[in-house]
Amino acid sequence: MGSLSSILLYVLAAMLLILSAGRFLGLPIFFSLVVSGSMAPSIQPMDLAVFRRGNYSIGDVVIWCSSPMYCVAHRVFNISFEKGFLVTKGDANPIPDQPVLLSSVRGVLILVVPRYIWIPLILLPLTLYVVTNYRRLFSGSLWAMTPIYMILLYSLGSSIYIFLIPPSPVIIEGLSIPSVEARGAWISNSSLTAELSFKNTSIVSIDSCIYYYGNSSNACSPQLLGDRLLIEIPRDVWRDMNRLGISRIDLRIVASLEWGAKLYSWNYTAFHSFEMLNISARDGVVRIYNPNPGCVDTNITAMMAERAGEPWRELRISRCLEPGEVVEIDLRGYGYAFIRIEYVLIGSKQIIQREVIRDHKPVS
Amino acid sequence: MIMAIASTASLLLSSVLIIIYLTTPIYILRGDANGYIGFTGYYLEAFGERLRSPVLDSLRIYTAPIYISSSVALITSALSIAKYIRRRGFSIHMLAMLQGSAGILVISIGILAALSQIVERVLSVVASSYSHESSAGRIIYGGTDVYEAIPWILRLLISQLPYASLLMLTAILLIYSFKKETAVKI
Repeated sequence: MGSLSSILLYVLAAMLLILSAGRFLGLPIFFSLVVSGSMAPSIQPMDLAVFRRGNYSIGDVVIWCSSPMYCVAHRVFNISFEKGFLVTKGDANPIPDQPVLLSSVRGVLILVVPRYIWIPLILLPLTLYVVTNYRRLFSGSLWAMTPIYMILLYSLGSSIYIFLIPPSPVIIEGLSIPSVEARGAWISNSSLTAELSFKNTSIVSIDSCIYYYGNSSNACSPQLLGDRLLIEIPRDVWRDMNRLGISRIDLRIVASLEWGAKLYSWNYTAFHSFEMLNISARDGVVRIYNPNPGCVDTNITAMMAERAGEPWRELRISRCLEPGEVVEIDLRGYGYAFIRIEYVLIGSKQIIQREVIRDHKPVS
Repeated sequence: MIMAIASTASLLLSSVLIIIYLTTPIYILRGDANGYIGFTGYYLEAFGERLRSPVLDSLRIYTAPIYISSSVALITSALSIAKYIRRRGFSIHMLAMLQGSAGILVISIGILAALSQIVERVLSVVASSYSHESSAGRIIYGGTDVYEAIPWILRLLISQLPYASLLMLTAILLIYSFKKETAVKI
């Protein structure tokens, strides 16, 4: 019984040795131990994959080796026979592998022996051997040393194998670093809007918000509307900007994001072009409209006379025209009327003079 | 005799420690990345996503020879101690087997050191700073704290005990063979 189990063990060991070295020896059939889960669920780690040399096509699982020790068994994703390379991909991998030469392919998968089948198949005769040779193993005969030195050789072989594996890049699957991108900033109505896009995160709170114009800066409290930050710019700021000839606003925020992260923003820049006052005179009525988001300092002087040669009467209005405000000056009933409007637009003085009524008739 | 007992006990202890070292987490991560990394298992997550590392998956297989060799060393040393208690002595074959087991463990320590390097490479990626710059600004993350789950004294014992056992057993066998040769001459 003992000798039979010994013979069986040695035959099995020799077969395993030859088949496992088959890919180097050029045998038509060989096997390889699967060490990673890149082909899961079809091939699991520790499964034995049996390969044959021969033709293959897209969809087949092939084994290719980049060095004598480093081999990969993945499914064929694309083949270019003309250019002489193929691309493989692990079933569980999100992206295909780098293209490899067709000559590096060693074989095509024909059979997978699951780990729960081959491991007991190996362990069974081994256990049988140990049980039947127990006395000899521990009785002090030379046989006792055999398993120890077999394992010693195995350990040596494994260490050589591990040291020969080329260093592969460390790939971490599933890692998605939350991030924020800026989409743009613009001014609409009297507000500054900054749009952001979020990947796997969102703003928890705004810790600080400052906007700059010229040499001035103001704190702000933005409203968060979805992916947009809305900052109401006070009218006084618009007035200042117009007076000083500034058309640019820079916004900077510090925000707390999810996952305990902080966003220290760059400058989100928005430009605003101040518009000229909208002035119209129709049927002796002068209309002045401010289309800007801030009030515009305006001096209006109307000069009226009933008849030619009479001294001019003057009407002076000096005020800051509110955004969207319309001022109407009714000059009907006068024989002659002029209007002079002075206002500041982006730091420079604008003067508009217009004859409104001549000889009791409106001037178009 | 004391040297033989000490070397056997040291072999037994080192094989037990290696098995513990292989089966327990070696690094614990807290912060942006959370979880643990061990030779035979790992659990990592970052930003609510489970992380997978093909390198760490392969590690499980690469530790197989170390498991086998430390189990062999464990069984050999335990049986030797049991036999010693029963018969009050060590046979030369037992000592030779113990020496072989210690030799295997020394090789395993080398493999373990290589595998530790792989673990540390993965760790350096997972526990690196995720802070970055984007078009929105500078995004600063809190970082990941890495804790060693195995005390340094245990690591030191794991790396040194097999060498000590091997040296002592080799010395015993040398002394034994010298004595035997002298006896033959006499």
